[in-house]
Amino acid sequence: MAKATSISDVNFSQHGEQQPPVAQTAEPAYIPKEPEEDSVPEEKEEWVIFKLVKHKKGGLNVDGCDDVLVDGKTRRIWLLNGVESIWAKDLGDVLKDKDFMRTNRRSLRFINGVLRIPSWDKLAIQFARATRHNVGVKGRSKNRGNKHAFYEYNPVEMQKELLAVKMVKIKAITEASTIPYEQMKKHALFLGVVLLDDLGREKTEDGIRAEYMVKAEENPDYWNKTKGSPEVDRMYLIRAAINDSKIDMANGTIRWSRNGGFICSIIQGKSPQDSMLDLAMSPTPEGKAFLQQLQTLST
Amino acid sequence: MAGIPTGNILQPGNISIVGGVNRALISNLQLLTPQYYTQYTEKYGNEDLTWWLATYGGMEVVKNRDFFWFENRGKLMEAITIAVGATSTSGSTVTLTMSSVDNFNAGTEGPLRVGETLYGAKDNIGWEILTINTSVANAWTFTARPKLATTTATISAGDIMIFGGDMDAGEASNSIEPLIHLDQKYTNTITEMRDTWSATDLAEMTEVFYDHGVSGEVPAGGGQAGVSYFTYKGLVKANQRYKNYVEMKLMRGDTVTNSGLNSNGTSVGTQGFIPKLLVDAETVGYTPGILDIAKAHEITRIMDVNGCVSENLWLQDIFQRQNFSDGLFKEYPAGAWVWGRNDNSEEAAIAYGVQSLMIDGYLLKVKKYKPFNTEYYTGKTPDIDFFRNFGIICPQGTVRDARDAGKSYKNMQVMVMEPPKGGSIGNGIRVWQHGGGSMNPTDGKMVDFVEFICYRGMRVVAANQFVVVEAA
Repeated sequence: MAKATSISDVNFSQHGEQQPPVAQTAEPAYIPKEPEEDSVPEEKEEWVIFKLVKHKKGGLNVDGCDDVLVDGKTRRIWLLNGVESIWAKDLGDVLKDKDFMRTNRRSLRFINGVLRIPSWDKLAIQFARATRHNVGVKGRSKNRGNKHAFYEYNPVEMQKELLAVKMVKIKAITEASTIPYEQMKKHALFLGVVLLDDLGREKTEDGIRAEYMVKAEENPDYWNKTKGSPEVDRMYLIRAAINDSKIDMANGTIRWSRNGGFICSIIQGKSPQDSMLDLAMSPTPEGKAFLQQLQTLST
Repeated sequence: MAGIPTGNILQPGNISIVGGVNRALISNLQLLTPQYYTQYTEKYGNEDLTWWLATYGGMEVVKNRDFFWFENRGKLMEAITIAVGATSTSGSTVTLTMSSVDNFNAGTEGPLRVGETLYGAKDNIGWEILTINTSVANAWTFTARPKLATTTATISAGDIMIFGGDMDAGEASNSIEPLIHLDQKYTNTITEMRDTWSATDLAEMTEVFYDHGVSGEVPAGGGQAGVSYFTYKGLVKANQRYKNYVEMKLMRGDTVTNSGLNSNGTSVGTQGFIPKLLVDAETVGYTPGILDIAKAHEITRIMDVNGCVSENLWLQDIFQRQNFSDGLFKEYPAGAWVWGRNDNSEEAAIAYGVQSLMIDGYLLKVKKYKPFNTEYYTGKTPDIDFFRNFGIICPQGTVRDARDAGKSYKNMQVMVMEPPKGGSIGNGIRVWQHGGGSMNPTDGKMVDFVEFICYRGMRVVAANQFVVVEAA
C-alpha cells in the first residue's frame, strides 16, 4: 500500500473487520429555562477598568480600607466579602467581629498598572470610585502624597479630550499659515524664530512662516495666548531699538545711547529684553514714558 | 618639677595594623570589618543597611562604571490574557484576540503556537489553537476550538488562558514551533561619592575651651594638622555625615540624566535600592494603624507567587514598626531557625538589631530603619514625608544568572569600584590630605583639606521578590 503504516492497519491486522461505530447523538448540554420577566436579569460580563496614574511594572495591591471626605466629614470605607455596603456606618457589628474582618478583607490588585473589575462586583466598583486614591473624581487633589493614584478608564472621554487637543493644534497651524506677514513677523520674533539664515541673510516670508508654523505646532496654547497680545508689539519695538543702537546695556543697567539716560536695571535671572518688556508692560509712569519713547523712535 | 610640655606632639603617633605596616589612616570607615562592627555602631548607630550589608555580605568589585546581569524575563510556564473574546457553541471554532501585554519586540513577537493546548483559568476547559494571525502588531488574533465536541463556552476579555503544550498531537504528528525562553539584561552603574572637610591654619591652631566633643573612638592616625578640638570635631562629623550621604545615595538616590548640572553631564548617577523597587517590586498598600494578620497573609501570598526565599529582612519606618508591633508581633513567635552565613548569619542579624518572626513559612527579620523618617535625620518634620508608613521586605537569597548558570547573585549587593591609588584606601574609600596647612603640604595656601571619595552602586536582582509595604 502506498502509504505509511498506521495504527488503523495495526488494529485491522489484530482484530479484523470492525463494525462501524453507531452514531451517537451527543447529549445536549443542560440549558436552563428562560428566566421570567420579573426575575433577576442575567449578569452581563463587562469590565470596569481603572489605570494607575504612574505606571509600574510590579503589581500593586491598594488596601481595602480608606478614609474619605463626604460633605466635609471623614467617613471610613471597607472592601469586604459577604457584606452589602462599603460604608463603616452601614457595617455595624461586622466591624467588631475580628475573625470576620481578618478573613474577609479585600484589596484592589493592579497588574501592569491596570485594574479590571467585573461589572457584577458592585462593592469593588463602588469602593474604587469612592476611595481618595481615585484622582479622576472631580475636585479631588491629584498629587497630594498619593502614591497609589489611579483613575477610571473612560475611553470615550479620553478620546474626546485627545481630539480636542489635536484640534487646537491643527487650528493654530492653519491660522499660522494665513496670518498677514507683518503681524506674523512680530509674533515669530517674539516666539524665538531667528529671522536670519545660517549665512546671515534675512529669510524670506516662506522661510519665516515655516518656522512660525512649527512654533504653533510645538506649543499651540502659548501661541494662541500670545497671538495679538500687546507684549508682542512692545518686544518688537524693544528689539528694533536695540538693533538701531538706540539702547545700551552694560554693567547690569540699560540706558539710552544718545544721552545715557537711565531706563532700568537688568533683573536677575532675566534677559535685558525681558527686563525692558516688564517695564514697558507696567502701568507705572516710568513704564508709560519708556513705551512712549519706543513708539516715538519707531516712527 | 613640671615635665616637658608635649601638647604639640600629636597622639597617637602610630597605630599597629595587621601585617605590621604603619599607615596614617584617616577614616574609621576604612577599617570597617565584621570584627570591628560593634565599634562602628557605637560611633555611628546601627541604622545603615548598605554599610551593614557591605560589612557582613561583602562588596562585589567591578572594573567598569557600568555593570550588568541577566535575569529570566518571566515564569517558566506561559499564559496569555485575552483582549477580545468569543463564544463557542457545540465545539465550534472561535476567533480571539491576544492582549498586547503578551506581545513584545514592538508587538511583533509573542508566545502563540499552532497546535498549542490552552486551558481556561476560570473553567479549566481545554482548547487547541488552530491558526494565528500576526499581521497587526500588539493585536494578534488566533482561532481556537474546544477539545470536547459538546463544549459551549465563552472566553471573555480579561480571561487568562494557560498554555498546556503540544498535547493530543495526533498520529504522524509534525513538529511544533518551539517556545523560546527569554532572558532580560539589567544594568546599573556606580557613582562618585565625595566629600571634603577643610580648616584654615588659624582655625586648627586656636585652642578652644573644651577638650573633647566627639563620641566614639579617635580616628586612627589623627586627621588634622592642628591641635584644636573644635576643628577636629568638624572632621569627625564630616566623616559621619559622609557615611550618611553614601547610605542615602545607595538607598534613595537615582540616576542622573540632566546634562545642565554642575557635573556637566559626566556623572550618570546610580539607580538606588528604593527607586528600583518602586518600579519593579510588588507593592502592598495598607491603612496606617491596620497592619494585621490579613495584611500579612496578603503579603506572604505575593511572596509565594514570586518565589521568594524563606529568609527576609523587613525594614520599616518608625510608624510602620509600631503598627507592626501592635498588630502582628505578639501573634507570631520566632521559633527555631537554621541560620546561614555572612549577612544571613545570626551574628549579623543581632548586630543589625532585628527581631524575628515566622509566618506562613517565612522568617521576617524586622528592623526599624529610622533613616526613612526625615525627623530622625534632620530634626525637621515635613508635612508629607515620602517614606512615612513605609517598609520594604527584602529577600536574602541568591538568584542564578540567566546567562551563566555557574554564577549566582545575592538579591542585594553593594558594588564597588576601587579608587585610584594615593592617600589611604580601605573598603573602597580613598582619603587624602592636601593644602599648605595639611600634614601633606601641597601648595602655599594655609588651608588643611581632607578629602573622601568612594565609587559605589547597588545591584538588586529579582526585584519582583521584594515587597514594598506602604500607606499612600
